[in-house]
Amino acid sequence: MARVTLKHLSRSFGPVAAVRDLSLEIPDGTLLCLLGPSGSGKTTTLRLVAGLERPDSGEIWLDDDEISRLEPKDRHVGVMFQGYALYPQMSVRDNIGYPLKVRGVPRTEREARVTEVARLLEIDSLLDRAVQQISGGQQQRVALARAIIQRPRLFLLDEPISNLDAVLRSTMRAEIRRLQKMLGATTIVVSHDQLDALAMADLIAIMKDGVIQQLGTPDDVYYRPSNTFVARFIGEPQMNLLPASLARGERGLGVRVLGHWLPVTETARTALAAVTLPDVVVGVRPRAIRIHREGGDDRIAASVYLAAPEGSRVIYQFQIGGDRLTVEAEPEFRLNEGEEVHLELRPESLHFFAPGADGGTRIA
Amino acid sequence: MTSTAAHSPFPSGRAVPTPVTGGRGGLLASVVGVAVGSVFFLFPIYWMLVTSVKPPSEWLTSPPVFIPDRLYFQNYTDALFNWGGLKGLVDSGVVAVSATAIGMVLGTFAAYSLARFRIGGTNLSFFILSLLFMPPVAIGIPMFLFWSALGLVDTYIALIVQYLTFTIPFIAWVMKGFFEDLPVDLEESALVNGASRLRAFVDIVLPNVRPALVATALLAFIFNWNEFSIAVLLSRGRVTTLPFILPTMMESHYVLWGDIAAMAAVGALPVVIIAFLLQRYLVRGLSFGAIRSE
Ligand SMILES: Nc1ncnc2c1ncn2[C@@H]1O[C@H](COP(=O)(O)OP(=O)(O)O)[C@@H](O)[C@H]1O
Ligand SMILES: [Mg+2]
Repeated sequence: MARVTLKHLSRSFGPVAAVRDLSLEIPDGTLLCLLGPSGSGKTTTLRLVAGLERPDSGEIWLDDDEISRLEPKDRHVGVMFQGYALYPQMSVRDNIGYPLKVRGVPRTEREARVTEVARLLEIDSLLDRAVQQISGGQQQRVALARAIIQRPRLFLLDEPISNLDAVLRSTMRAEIRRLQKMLGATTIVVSHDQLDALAMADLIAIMKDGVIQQLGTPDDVYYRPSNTFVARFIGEPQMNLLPASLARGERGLGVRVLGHWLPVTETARTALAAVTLPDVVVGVRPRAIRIHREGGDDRIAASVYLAAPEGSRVIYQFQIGGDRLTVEAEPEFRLNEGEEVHLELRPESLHFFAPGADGGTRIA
Repeated sequence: MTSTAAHSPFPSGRAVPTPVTGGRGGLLASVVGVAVGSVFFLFPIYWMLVTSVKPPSEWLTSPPVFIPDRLYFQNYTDALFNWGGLKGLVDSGVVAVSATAIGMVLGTFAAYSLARFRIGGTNLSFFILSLLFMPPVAIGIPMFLFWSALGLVDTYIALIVQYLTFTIPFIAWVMKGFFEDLPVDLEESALVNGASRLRAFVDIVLPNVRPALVATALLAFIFNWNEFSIAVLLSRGRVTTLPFILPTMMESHYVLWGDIAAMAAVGALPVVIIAFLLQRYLVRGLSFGAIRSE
């Protein structure tokens, strides 16, 4: 297996810059998830690594080999395509064995290895079926088996979960994770679903318009989003982003938000003190807000605008003056629409970003 | 090869229109419709076949003889041996088979590169299509001068090359559509699995367009087998294809209708046999086209 390094990769299609000056290092044995909305350049990045697309500029390295100019067949990467790309005229067995057949592996060894990976993925009973006669979930396993059989240096999976139904999705996330750890395979998984990324990845690269917005562990991107785009993209329901301004109060530097002055943590205060403009954006996750029936210091009066029970949780929309705030609460805590409560935004749960439509960078 | 149906990446079964069955009245109407249609299309063929086995005395009688009371095969021996029908079969076969085979190889590769690499942008593929609109007589004189300058008038090579000028565009144009319909993923997956372009083409692309290849080849063969205008321009009596021979049989003062009918039947037979043998592919190959144009 291998360490992957992308250096200043760029690829445009006419006027569309699909990937822009992308640099990235993936340590050996790591599962990296390329996460981003549709059209953000994830597939293009994957195709550049696979050799199905030529970069306009930049380099791709596998360990100490530059592979940017190699033909796809000489790169030895295993790819699972978004639609699986199973060969319709071949059986499951021949599909899985094709990479070995092309590379001239003798029949007996081929048979043995097909049986081995099929057993690993629990599809050994399907080997003689036609690929149209098996379910979507089984087709996915066949595609996965075909990608790993040639023991590639790198796995590339394009939206491996997206075509599956909800029940299969969580099983497959776990399955891909298990397989990846077992094989110790360096892997890039493309997804537009943050749950895939948070559940599977060691590292997440969040992309927008061909540019990586943040590269970090799931904890990094969740707890320390590098800008408002990442803040909104990771986490469900979305993080609340509120216009605010820096203001000095009796207790030192804090923020005015939702018509209230709130204190901030010591670290945030230091970072905020360096900011020249008074305007900032305050972010707070729906889970981090506490709801109280009684008022108190630093609590913000709010009324329930909308209550959406979802079984294991309730999602509330609160009205505060002209603003709305999303809060996620335990199901036991039931409020009726119109009810008056008090919200607590604890200093340690606040994120601060520079103002700007999308992508205001993190201050603290 | 029933498995090709199940293995086809194309959506299947959608193109077949459900018959309009409006109860008993609708059924009666469609039976009558089919009967009238059959008579209209099949009667000329019946008349050709029946004339080919009539003795000369029954060729042009009034009222006509619909069912001869005995079969007279002399017409066939005359057509084959006196009128050069046997040589016509051979010449037609050599020319049509060669042009179709060469055309399939070159046309299929051309189609693939047009479909996948957009060679020549939109202009080249439109130029290829435009070749099919050109009437052969428009190039008759330059074509004849060209071949006579080479000293190759009235040879197989002239006819074959000349037929390729429309066979290749035809095949390229039709196959281009089939290649465009085939998901690119399949080939790309073969490439990353270790195949070269050619290997991916042979292993993955060709098996998935086989019915289309067969149907296209048969259509190309029929065009070449039936071709008349170029054959007349380039033949001086040495290379004589069947479409060239037929009109020469009407030039005498007493037209031998039975011999002509026998010659026509001989000419139609190979196409019928091939179409019959390939009908399984043919229906599927042609219905791909129907799906595409939906
Ligand atoms: N072959 C192509 N030709 C033209 N534009 C393309 C091509 N491939 C991708 N693009 C464009 O590049 C951008 C990124 O596409 P893609 O990498 O597929 O995004 P994602 O996988 O994140 O949805 C999109 O705007 C897309 O329309
Ligand atoms: Mg994509």
